[in-house]
Amino acid sequence: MRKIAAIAAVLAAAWVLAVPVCAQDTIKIAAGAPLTGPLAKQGQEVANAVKLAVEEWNAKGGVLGKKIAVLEADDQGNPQVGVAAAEKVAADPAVMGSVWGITSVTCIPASEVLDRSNIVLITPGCTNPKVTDRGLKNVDRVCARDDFQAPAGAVWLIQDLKKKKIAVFDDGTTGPRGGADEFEKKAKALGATVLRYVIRAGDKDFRPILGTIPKDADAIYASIWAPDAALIVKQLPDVGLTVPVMGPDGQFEPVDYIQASGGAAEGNYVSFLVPDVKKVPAAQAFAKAFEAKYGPVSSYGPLAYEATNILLTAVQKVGKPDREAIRDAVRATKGYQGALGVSVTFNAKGDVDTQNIYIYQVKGPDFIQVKSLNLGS
Amino acid sequence: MTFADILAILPQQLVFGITLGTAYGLIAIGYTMVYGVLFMINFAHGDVFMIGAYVGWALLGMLFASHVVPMHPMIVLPLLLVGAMVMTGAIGLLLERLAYRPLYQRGATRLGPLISAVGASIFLQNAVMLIAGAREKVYMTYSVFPRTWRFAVAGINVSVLVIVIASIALLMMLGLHWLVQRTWLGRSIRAVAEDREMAAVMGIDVWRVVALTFCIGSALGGAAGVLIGFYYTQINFYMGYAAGLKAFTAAVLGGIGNVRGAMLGGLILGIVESLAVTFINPAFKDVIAFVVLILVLMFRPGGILGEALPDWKRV
Repeated sequence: MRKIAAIAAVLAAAWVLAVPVCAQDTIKIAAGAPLTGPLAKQGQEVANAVKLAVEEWNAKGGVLGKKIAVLEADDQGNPQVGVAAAEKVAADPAVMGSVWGITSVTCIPASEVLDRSNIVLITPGCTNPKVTDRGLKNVDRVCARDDFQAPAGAVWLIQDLKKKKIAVFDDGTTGPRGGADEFEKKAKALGATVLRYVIRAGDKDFRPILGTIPKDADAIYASIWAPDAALIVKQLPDVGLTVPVMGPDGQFEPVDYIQASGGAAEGNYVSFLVPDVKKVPAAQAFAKAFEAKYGPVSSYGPLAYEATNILLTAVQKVGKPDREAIRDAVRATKGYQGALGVSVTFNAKGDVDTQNIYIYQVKGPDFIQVKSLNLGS
Repeated sequence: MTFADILAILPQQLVFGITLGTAYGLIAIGYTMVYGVLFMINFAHGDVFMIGAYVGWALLGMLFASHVVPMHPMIVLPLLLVGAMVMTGAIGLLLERLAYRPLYQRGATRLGPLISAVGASIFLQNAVMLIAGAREKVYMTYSVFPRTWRFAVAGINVSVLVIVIASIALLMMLGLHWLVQRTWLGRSIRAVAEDREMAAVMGIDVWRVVALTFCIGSALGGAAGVLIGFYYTQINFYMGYAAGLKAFTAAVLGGIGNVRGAMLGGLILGIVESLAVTFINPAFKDVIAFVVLILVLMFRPGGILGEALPDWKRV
């Protein structure tokens, strides 16, 4: 028995020692996202954008004189799976950083696992304030925070569209309720009247609630998910209301919102974290390269591409494969000019100092960008 | 909101309540009929309703893609209703044959079939999820009932869809009432509900009557699935749970085992819910619905119309 244990120990030691030896000729970047499951489409776009950025760096000779490889980590949008995937990433000594996540529920636990190994995590799409509010040194975010999206919606409806009496809906759960609270605060500060309504997620008949909205309300802000929003816009005509409906990024869903509404969402507004690449001159090269390889850009790709470039730039600046130094170099990013035409500077928490929110309008089967709002953080 | 505001929206809310109420009533009939003959609560009934909604959705998609028939409600709705009723009727028969009858024939007490019903409910939900996927399915309501098919009477918005749903549900309930009160089958059902052994002695094939009761109740639930599908415009595989709970409440409210009671209970529940939304925070609408149930049961323990059960079956 003791002999077996000894052999096992030797083998284990050999394995542990052997890995760094193998790893010496490449540097790895982890791409964490839901690569399977219901969010796979958005997740794959993140992984593909990371791969595209890495291929471009490799074509220029890699970084630190080494080739870069992408380590895919599938979190399935599920916290448990995310933790397991993050542990796998942390166990690979060649990994020098990660671009992770479109769901905050997986980003948050994954970042804690990665933090123990000092691996930096840049997120292109996790918007929950908690992602950066926990004081972790390794978490940075290139997209805007949730608590800026609702105020941006208020600015758009009240300042741009001159709306005065707004019915605000949430579904009573933490995220949407928080968004509705932020909206109310900003809308009141801008001088509009706000009426609050709560629906229950999963209910299908909102007509009685919609029927209680006063007829002089001139807009609706729906801090709810796409399927519920589709129902609301479909049922509005049943109570004789024709007002624009606006919602946060959860409604940036061509199938679950626009298609599910059967045309009723036409002309409505949705705020989103990523600009329409067609509207950004600087992003044309990226858009073309991505489309040629992986098809049209539809969600978080541009931000994942940006995050990867920020990460690799930091690796280059540090000049050696030192996770801790790379982590700090990413946080120190200042005035980085990326592919999206906006400069990126991380603040002390790891949030971008200019929170960019893009307002889209539903036109036919697509979302068309109508405005970009930049709010200081 | 001032009193005048509330008064102004009240008629509109009543219209919504009545529409929802007739659909609740249609589902409630399935609970009440089965309870009448077997003295058992068929918890899988809500899921049979859900399957009806899915069958309607699938048929609607096929009709839409095939371009064989024009998308007119007069053509589409009967096709969908018949399809869903045949399918759910068959599922009702299967449920009775596989999940309940074996238990009764082995002398199960009241609890066994109840657990079996819960199991059947879970099975049906997961089967539908695996076959159709977990995503919400969308009824293309407005390709059959165009958005412009609505009119305003004295400030109340009424759509053709609402009228069609309420009248189909009412017609079906009247049809069932006629069947139970006026036909030979109805008399057998009532006889089995009254006294199973005695009915058997009188030459009634008791299990055939029980199976037919399941079949009819399930088919009506399936029809309600199609109607609710059109009204809600979105369906999912777990919608049967909430709807089933409401319909069961409606059945108890009206007096379980009593077909007219189920219809009345459904209507009252639908109206109470939409009024609760008008006067109180919408988040409390279920609370209000159940408070009404408790109040009614406190003063009339047998439900509004009373249980249509023989004395020995009363709890």
